[in-house]
Amino acid sequence: MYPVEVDQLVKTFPAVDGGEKYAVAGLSFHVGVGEIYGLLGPNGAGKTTTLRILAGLMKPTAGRVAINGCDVAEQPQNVKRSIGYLTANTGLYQRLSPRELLPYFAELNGLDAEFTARRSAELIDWLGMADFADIRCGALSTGQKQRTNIARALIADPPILILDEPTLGLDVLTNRVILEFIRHQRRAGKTIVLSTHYLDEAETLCDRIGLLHEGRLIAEGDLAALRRQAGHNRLTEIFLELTGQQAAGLLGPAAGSAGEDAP
Amino acid sequence: MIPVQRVAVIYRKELLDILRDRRTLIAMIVIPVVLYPLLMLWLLWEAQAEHTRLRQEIFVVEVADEAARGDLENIIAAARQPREQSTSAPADDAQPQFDVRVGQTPDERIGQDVQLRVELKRDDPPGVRRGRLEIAVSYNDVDVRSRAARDELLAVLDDFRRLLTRESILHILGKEGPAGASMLSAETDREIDLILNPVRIETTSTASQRQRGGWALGQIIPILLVIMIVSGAIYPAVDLTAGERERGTLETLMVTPVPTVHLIVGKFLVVATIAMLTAALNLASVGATMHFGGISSVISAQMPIELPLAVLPIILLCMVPLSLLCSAVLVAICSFAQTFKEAQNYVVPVIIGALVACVPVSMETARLEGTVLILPVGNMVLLARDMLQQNCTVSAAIVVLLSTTLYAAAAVAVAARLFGQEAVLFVDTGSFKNLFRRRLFKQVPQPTVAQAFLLVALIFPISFYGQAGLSAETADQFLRLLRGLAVWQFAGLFVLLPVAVCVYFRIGLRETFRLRLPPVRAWLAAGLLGVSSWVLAIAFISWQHRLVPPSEAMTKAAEMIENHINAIPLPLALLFLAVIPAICEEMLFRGYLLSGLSSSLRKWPSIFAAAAVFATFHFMIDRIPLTFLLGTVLAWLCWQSRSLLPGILFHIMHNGSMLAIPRAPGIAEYLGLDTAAEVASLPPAVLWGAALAFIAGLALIASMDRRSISPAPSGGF
Repeated sequence: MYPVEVDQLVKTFPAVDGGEKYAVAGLSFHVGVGEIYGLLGPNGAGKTTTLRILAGLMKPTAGRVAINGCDVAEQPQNVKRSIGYLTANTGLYQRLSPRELLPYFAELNGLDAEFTARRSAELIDWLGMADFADIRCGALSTGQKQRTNIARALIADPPILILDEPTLGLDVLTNRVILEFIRHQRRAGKTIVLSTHYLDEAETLCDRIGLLHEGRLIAEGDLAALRRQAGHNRLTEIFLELTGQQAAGLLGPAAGSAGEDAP
Repeated sequence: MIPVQRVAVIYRKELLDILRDRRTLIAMIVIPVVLYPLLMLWLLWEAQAEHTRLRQEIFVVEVADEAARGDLENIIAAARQPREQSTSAPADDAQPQFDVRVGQTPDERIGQDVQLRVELKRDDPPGVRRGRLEIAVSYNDVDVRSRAARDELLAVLDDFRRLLTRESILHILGKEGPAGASMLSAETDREIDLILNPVRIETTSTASQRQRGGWALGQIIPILLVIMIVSGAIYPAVDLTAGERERGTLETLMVTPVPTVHLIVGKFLVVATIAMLTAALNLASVGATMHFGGISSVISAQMPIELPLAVLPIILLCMVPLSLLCSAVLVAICSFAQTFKEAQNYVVPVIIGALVACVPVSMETARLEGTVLILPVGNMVLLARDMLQQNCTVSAAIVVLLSTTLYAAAAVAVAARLFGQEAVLFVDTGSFKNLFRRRLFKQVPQPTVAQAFLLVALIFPISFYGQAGLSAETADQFLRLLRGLAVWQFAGLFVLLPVAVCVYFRIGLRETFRLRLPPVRAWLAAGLLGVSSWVLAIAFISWQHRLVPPSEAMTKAAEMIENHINAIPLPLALLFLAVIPAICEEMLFRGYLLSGLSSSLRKWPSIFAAAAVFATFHFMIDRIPLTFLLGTVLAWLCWQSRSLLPGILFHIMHNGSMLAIPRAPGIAEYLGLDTAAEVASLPPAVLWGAALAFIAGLALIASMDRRSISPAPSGGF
């Protein structure tokens, strides 16, 4: 059993014409313990939808997703106990400080006060939040907010992290802190599934990469396997080759740069 | 973590969060504590100042020529002399002055520089000492100064008319002139007074000072309370739903391992708390301003009153279900909005709806009775009014509070159902149409608590209005009505509608309606309960009537129904009042409703909630305690046996016995049921026997092992 198992996942949304639009069309992959799995793909490939299903926020139309052996459709509460979920757009309660926010999410996760105090102190230290831990979130910078968000996602020390573009829109310094923190989590044995538009980031960070296109997994493996499959060295070229796109401009944001991702 | 603790965590955080928002504090504290008293005091001050200003005014009165000017000035001077002693004179010394001028101001300018135009014409027919004086007064009724001048001049002219009348009488009596007047005897003076006032009319209101105070407060407080509750709930409801979505925190919250219903209950309790706090602060502020700000003394100057301020806290307490209802409706509606702005647009119809429900019932002729009892919002307005006027019955208050609580529960359930939906959570992928697209529904074993409450809340008013509209003069009419009830209420609303909902939403019929054979023990329990419950029910009603005697109207209504029932053949009575109601009520309350409740609540909360709704549906107030107890036993029996069938048997036996036993001459005589006495006196042996059988039935229910009965695949109750 893998911590994350996705089997023939299908997710459809009603289309404007009354039919159905496939956001995810038969996706299968798994992620092992201590592994970072990167989901890459152009806008509309189905990355965010997949991650939302993994987090128990959406129900699959068909197929099965299991987190730590629990089916997301049947045991969403158990799934949510096993994961830390983070998106680039995640908001924070403007009128609470990080030091008030962390215990709140700890309590929602059913953690006791002693563990919460210790864990909050650890996270504030690791993520360099001491200077702004008592300032209300509404007054924090984007980077400080994202660090607070990461601390919020990790407060329960979940074994699985689901990160949807965790470094989107961050400055270089905060970016580095967060990437280092993700590596640290891998070393601590966490299972991590992330999506990113930064291909160089995926190249250096991910143990395995799944290339998504129109809801389907068109390639999967470590960088070496992808190189063999596409016949290119750089992930950008591999990405373009495998998605069948010759012009980088058709992919929305250029490979290696940030962009929006929906749905 | 138990649900209550989890809800408390969410409640604490949300309350802290919302109370840190300046907008909430302004709406909740500054407006009621500072603005309302200032506004009321300012209005009071303005009213007093205007009164003083008008008393000190010099009104310009225009006449056609100098002669008319002289006449009018003389009239005013003559009239004012005796007026100083007249009873109609104002208490204060100041009197408006009239500046009589000659001019020809056009009509459209009356009310501007000139307040009145007066035309004087004397009709002097030959042969009389003095002719009739005709005075035409023109004024502008949209100008306050012109109106005040008119009132003042008419008062002066009235005094002048009395003066002339008195002079004429003196002339007839031959005692004309100041010297003669002073020589009038007391008898003559009394005679003149009798001629002037041949009839003296005196009216006296029997209302107590407290009633007057209640009436005065009843005109404003109830509607004010509704407005306060709605306005207090709006901002937090918008902020905690659409605001949370807009800020991106909703997704964060939904990813925590907390059931959606706990999240929504925590949030909605915060909204209700803020609404109640706003209402309480407003009410306290209004009460204090009226009491200490001099408003009551102003009203008292005209008629002595006593403001029933002590009732206000009780009224506030009664407003809790209304604040829950308003909060839940607002949370449910705002859950649809993607942005704060959009949500603000959505709440406008709610405000208008609440006001529309208030206005018709705020008429003085409106009564808290019949269908108005369950009119959402409107019934609470009338309840508050009647409480202030000391005109409220306990039974009406119970129906109002229970029905509002039922609506609130349905609204909370719907809000909880909406809150966690993909279509509501994600703007980019969802559509609200998805909530109703059948092809997107997955087969589920039982309804959700939202579906259960929503349907029951919809059936409740229809059923109430239907029954309230039914009245029968004869037994034939009564039988026809029973047939109608069997078709549209029992079969249609209680069975077909829930079944249709189940089919549409792909809800398992077998599991929802507990359509399975129960263990033998359940049949035995139902049998024991069925043979004994009617005895205990009669004893319970007797005991209740000793404790709280029923009202005359209630007794008459019960007697009328009893007479009608006794007039129709027993088999038909059993069919329409025992068999059909038992089957249909079990389908709705222990089938659809209890299944829905059990999807989110634990055993006893589900059982008690289902029993409370069952009792509320029995619109005869004095039967509510008994039906609640029976509903509890029926729900427990259904829960333990996982089957609806034993409950149907028990229900039929109970209703059937209540109908058949009083008709069996020997038995009725033995039991003392043939007398007209309201309080039955059952033989102790029968009572104890029934009690033992009933306890044995309960023991059998308790002894049933639910685990040995095959549950639904998804683990329904």
